[in-house]
Amino acid sequence: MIDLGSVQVTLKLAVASTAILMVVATPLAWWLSITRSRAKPLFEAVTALPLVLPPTVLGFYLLILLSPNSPMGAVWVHVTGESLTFSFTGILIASIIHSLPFTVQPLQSAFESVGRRPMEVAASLGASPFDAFVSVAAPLAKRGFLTAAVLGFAHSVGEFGVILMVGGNIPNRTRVVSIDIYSSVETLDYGRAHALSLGMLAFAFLVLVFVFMINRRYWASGKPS
Amino acid sequence: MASLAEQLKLDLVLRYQNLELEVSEEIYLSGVTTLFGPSGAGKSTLLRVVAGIERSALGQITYMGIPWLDSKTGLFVPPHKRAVAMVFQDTQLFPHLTVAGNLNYGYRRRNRRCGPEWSEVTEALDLDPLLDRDVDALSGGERQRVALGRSLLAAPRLLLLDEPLAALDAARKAEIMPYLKRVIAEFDLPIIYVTHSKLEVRLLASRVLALVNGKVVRGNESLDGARHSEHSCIRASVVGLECPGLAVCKVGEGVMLAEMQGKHAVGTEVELVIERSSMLLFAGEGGNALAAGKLDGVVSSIDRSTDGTLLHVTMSTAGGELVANLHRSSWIERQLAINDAMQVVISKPAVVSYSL
Repeated sequence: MIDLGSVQVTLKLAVASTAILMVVATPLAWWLSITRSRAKPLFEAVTALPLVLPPTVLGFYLLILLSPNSPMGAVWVHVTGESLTFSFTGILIASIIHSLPFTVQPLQSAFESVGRRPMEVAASLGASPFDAFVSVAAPLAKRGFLTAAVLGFAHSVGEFGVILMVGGNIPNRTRVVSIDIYSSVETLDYGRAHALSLGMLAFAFLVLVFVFMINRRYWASGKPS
Repeated sequence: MASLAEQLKLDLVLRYQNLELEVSEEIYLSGVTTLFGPSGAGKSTLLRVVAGIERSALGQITYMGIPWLDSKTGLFVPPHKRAVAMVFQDTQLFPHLTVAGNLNYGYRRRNRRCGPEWSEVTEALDLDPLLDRDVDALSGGERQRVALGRSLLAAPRLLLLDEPLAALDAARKAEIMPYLKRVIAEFDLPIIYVTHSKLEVRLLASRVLALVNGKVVRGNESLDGARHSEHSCIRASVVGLECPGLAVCKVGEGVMLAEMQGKHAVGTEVELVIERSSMLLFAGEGGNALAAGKLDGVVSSIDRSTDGTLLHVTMSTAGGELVANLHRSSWIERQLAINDAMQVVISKPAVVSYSL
């Protein structure tokens, strides 16, 4: 039986970062979908940066930002007694930031296709903006939520470079499957690398099939819901 | 006369693309006020400003003395606190809810104790058979009835209707019109009704506010035909075209001119809307009177108006019952008797209704 510690860390990381991502990405995507602010392209660019940056660049800056020598890292050490770098919390933060565009963009386009009108109708029927969002906009954008959650989860599972930079390769703490495969190959343990890689391949394939199925129903039903 | 407290006071300026809306008006909060005018005149935009959905207007809105908007002090009451329900041309029913879910949406959120009961609304609009249906499975007319019911159940203090019939074909319009009239009659609710149809103004309005290029227009002759008056409806068939927009119709042996909105082929059965005060009655032949219409009929009932100044004379004609409003005098009353054959002479052309 092979050691499944890295699989456990990966799943824990993916579940936690997906949950937090949905909470963070929903208001951000909503704001981007309704704002008429001139700063909108700026915010969209910042949100999309992790898509184009090499993970090492993002990882390098996060390493600097989270290290105990930085103000933020120092506060964390002061409060919890632990360092953010080379810890699970550290790679969680890194994973959230790196996966943000994958959740914000499907949500934003789902909200945009719902449009303003249903919210206006809800308001005229006595719903406060938050109430209208929960009772009308969110149910109408439910496929967007599903797509965002699946993509965010899948992307967190496949994280490599950023986590290696911020978290290193500590078994049962920061060693995720992708890093495990890398070090298995480095140590010429091809059997282990094969098993883990095949698992990842199957997982990625299933996720994509699922996403395309959601999107297909989305278009086939002929309405943005 | 309504007191100042029963008014919606608007003092607004709004620039929106090519439109410059400038309205300073007091609207009485009773019956139906139609906002009438060509498309692009700013009618719908004004309605959205009143509802609070369009926020870029500058100026003041005061509802019964309560300020809703005052851009000088920065006051803005958000739409969900105004208790103003709006019915949209494209209904905007929520597709993720059933008919009952849509109706319940505003009902659950009404922030006033008063307002119509669930059963009053579903009965008035015949909604009970539709309750479990998906909104996708409704016809255009049914959708509009549900939208109307949903708004009423939100217990609004003011109901805004944005061209509720414009997206429907003539048959659907004819289907909805009786429901609209019932809503106006049964629920004591001030309504602002946006339309570009003279006929809808004639059938529904207590008063008319004409809007052209973002400004209220008064004394515009082209709108005289739109001013509200009591009317009667009879059946007729089109026999010819006098000039574009004016048809010659036959009612039994009688002939009547009628303004048309669309095109009706010769032989089409139509319903004519005739102003009650435009009729004169002639015992025997109306002879040489030059008029827009002459019909034969028999007096079937004679009633006095509540204030006693008018006589409502109901005439049976080949196209159904027609009521003529005559100013009451003892001389007229002596001349009139039930079952008298009379000729009805009508001074103004009728309007072809949506029907048949």
